Amino acid sequence: MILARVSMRNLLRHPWQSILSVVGIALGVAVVIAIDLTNESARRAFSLSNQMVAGQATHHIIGGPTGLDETLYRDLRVDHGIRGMWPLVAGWVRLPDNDDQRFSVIGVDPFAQTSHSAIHRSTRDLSPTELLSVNNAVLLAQDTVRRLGLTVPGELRVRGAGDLHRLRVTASVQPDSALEGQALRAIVITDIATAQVITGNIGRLTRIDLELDDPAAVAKIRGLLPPDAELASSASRGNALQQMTRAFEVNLTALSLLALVVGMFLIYNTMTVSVLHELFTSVTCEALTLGVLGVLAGIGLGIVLSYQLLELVAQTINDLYFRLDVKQVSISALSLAKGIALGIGATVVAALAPALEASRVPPQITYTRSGQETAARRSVGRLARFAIVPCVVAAALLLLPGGSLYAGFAGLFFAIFGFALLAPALLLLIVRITHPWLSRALGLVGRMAGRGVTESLSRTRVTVAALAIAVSATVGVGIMITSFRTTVEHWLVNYLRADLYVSASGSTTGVDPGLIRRVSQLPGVRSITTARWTKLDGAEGRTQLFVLDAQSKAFENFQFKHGDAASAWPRFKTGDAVIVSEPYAYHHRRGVGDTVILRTDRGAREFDIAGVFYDYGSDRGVVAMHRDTYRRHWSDPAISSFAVYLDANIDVDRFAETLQHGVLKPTDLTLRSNRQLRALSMEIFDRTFAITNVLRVLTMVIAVIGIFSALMSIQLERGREFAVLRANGFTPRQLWALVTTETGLLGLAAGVLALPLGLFLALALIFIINRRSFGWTMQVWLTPEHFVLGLTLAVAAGLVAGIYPALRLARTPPSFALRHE
Amino acid sequence: MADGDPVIELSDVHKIYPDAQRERAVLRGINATFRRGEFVAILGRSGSGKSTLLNLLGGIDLPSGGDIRFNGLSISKLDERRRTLFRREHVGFVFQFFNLIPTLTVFENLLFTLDLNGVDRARAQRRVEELLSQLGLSDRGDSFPDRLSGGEQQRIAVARAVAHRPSLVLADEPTGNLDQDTEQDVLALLRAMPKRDHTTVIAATHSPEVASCADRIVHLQDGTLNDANS
Repeated sequence: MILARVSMRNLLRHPWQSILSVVGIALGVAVVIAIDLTNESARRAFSLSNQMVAGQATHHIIGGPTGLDETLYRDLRVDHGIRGMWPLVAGWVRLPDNDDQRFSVIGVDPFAQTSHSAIHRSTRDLSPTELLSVNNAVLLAQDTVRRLGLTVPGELRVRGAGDLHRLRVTASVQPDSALEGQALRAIVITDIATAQVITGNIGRLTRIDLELDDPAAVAKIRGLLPPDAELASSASRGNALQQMTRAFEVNLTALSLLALVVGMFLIYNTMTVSVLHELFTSVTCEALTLGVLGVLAGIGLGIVLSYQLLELVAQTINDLYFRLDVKQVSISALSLAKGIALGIGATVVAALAPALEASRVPPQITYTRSGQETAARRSVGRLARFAIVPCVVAAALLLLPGGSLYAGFAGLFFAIFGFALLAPALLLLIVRITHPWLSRALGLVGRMAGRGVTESLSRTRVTVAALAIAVSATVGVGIMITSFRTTVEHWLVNYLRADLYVSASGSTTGVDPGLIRRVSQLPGVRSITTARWTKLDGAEGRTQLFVLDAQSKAFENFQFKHGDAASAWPRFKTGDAVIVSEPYAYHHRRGVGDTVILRTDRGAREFDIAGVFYDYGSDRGVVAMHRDTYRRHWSDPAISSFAVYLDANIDVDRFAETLQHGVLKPTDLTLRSNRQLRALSMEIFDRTFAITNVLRVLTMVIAVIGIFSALMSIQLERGREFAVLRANGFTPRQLWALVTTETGLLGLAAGVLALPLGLFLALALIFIINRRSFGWTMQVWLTPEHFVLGLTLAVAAGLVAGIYPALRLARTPPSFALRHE
Repeated sequence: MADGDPVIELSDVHKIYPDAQRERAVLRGINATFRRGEFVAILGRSGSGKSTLLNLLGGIDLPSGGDIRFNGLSISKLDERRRTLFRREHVGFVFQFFNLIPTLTVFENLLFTLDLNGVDRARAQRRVEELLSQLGLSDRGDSFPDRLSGGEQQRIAVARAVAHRPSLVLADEPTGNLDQDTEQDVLALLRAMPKRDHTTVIAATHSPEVASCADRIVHLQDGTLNDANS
């Protein structure tokens, strides 16, 4: 109790430092909690939307690109007496009367009368005939009915499979919970037949869900399935989908932890001030008080922040992985507990070193600033020598082949720790180098500024390390993004060689082959290639298949990492060989000469890999196959998009306008020029990194708070020294110049140190973290702007953080400082 | 100007500190004159306002009422910048806790006020070397203050106060933190100044030794100044 009172009193004695420390911890914890809540919310939304449909189904029967023949369900149920299964048709439509919003369509069998999923439950109050007796009957969530301004019963117009459908809303569904409401907010529930019509899947089922607990039943059903169908467990399928976003989530978590690490430096700094007054238990007690206050504030802030970040994360998942409708943050107790544990843990760890120092050093030294500074100067060499340990660990974690993504991030954090230990020695070196220059340029002020930095080494070393780490993260991530962006830009220039692209993405139907024929007959069209994008679920998880009806010329657009276009082409065209993207090869550990197993209409089959190509469109990877090969193994004539190559003398924009207002007018296909498609790709790219940029800024904010707090403590501790200067004739302006030169020098030192660390982080991110996360190879593009920006940012942070202490000191009458010291 | 001429004159000087509960009057109408080349000791109990008076004399602080004139110039009417320039040129301070600038070497500490006063570099260096030689500390020029003993630090502090040859040296408990031997060294320096450099030295002190060296002793009691010689 007494200790708590002592700690509290001491915290109140340095209110500025205490408040800034609490803000620093709060921000660090807030970022960690916000990212965790955001990731968790996305995960929960995903699993909830799965559960909404599949309920507690243990297995799914899945088919090929066009799904399953609906007779399979009848055969299994009627001929083989299988129970506990529910057919499902899933697709999507647009609502022309409501801003063309995209809604999922789920078709269920009302006779199944199961309560295993919310979708099925939603039909429980209706008689099975209610959906079936009314033509085009559908159900919507009550909230959705209200939001769309509909009535029950009432009409809902949707556009699906290229046609406009008038649906009858016969009832509204009351969700059991807010989360269920969220999952149902953009879903149209209907019967199988209606769903088949409006999604254009006549006679087909998307899948059949089953609840099986008997291995014999599983084996029996497997034996009954046709070659194009497969029985997959729900867990493995759900996991496979969630695995897609794993690397993205880990990257965000790592960035959020970096913010917390920078916050730890703040605590460390505050605690070194406390050591002047207290001993181990008291320092720890004080740190815990700050930690608890910071964590409490961080929880609230984290929840608020998670709402802002959720949109960015959901956008990225939608852009890169799968459709996810998530608007609500799920406040998970586990996320909050993780944030609390990390916040308190980080505080205790950060306070441990100063507290231990307090307990080891004789009291007469602990209690004096000069004693502390002497100890700090003596420790410089020891810390630099000890830095070898984390650096070696970092090198092992980063460079050992086959390392995981987690090991990669652990390696980065060890490297940062090693750098922090080296920072004091490097700081002294920088001051020594700049001292003559500063002396010459600024005379007395310059001489004193450099010395001021080294005289307060116990404070300045931590400040400089924290700021350098935050700036290096900005530099490193900046270089990585620029390198990635430039690599993608170059790749797109090579990859997108056609003049125009017409795509069915965003359309409710595929591309009509007749339309392609008409376009190919237009004057000025040199050639056309078609593509089909589809996903195959199988033993190797979900495979993105890119089916290409290309001539050898278009095949040359692929840039090969392994193999080459000339040797791969004949096998690709006629030899049942595929080429795989670099991420696919990396994640599946495949290369040229290996095989890929894909489930065809006639069962699983191996395809030779003829080449590995660079591709930045999907981080899980793509298998590319010639249309002829696809045709031999799948009965799926659908076309997702086509590319138009024009004669050299044709005005592309004018041709596009003619096409848009002519052949394409009655369709909802999207036409984009090469330039527009590249711009869109880069827009998506930039959107993907929007959240990264937010986290970089937040980390910098924490660092600036840290440097502000440290500079405040340094400057206020030296109040008497400055008062003596003033008494002896130093003008307020000279004092201001001295303080800002010192803080600017600290910023400069942090900036100079941040550059090599930033470059190291960039290289590690490009060659190790990105590779382990996504399997991409990137070219390193070093431009001076990141280094200049980093240096400017650091110096500006130093100067800005020094303004207030400088003004405060310059305004303080020397008599006041002399009297109060 | 000759020795004995008034250097600094105080007329009805008041100093009141606003405390949390009520105002506290530390100086209540002080009238005094300090002359060129004299060593004056101000005696008084702790909290009697000795340091406050020195701060007012040196232009570090402003009086709440009354006037302080330095060679006829009212320093209480100067703005912050002019008072700073006045201190820089005309005043030297010696503090009880030495207050050397820790970020400068001994040599640089002595150079400090000369630098501020824009003294030519070569002349300034010669002056510093001369001072160090007088103190017998020529070999400590490159040392930082924390490497010196208390006595050495205070001797350097006195040297810093007089380096730029000010008209007025204000010493606040100059020997308060020294042992007896070093006290004598510092006193010798302070005592020599008025005659040699025609400087006015005003020292606030508890110490009978310091008082015994003074040309004049004044007592500060209940906010008023009583001249012991009058």
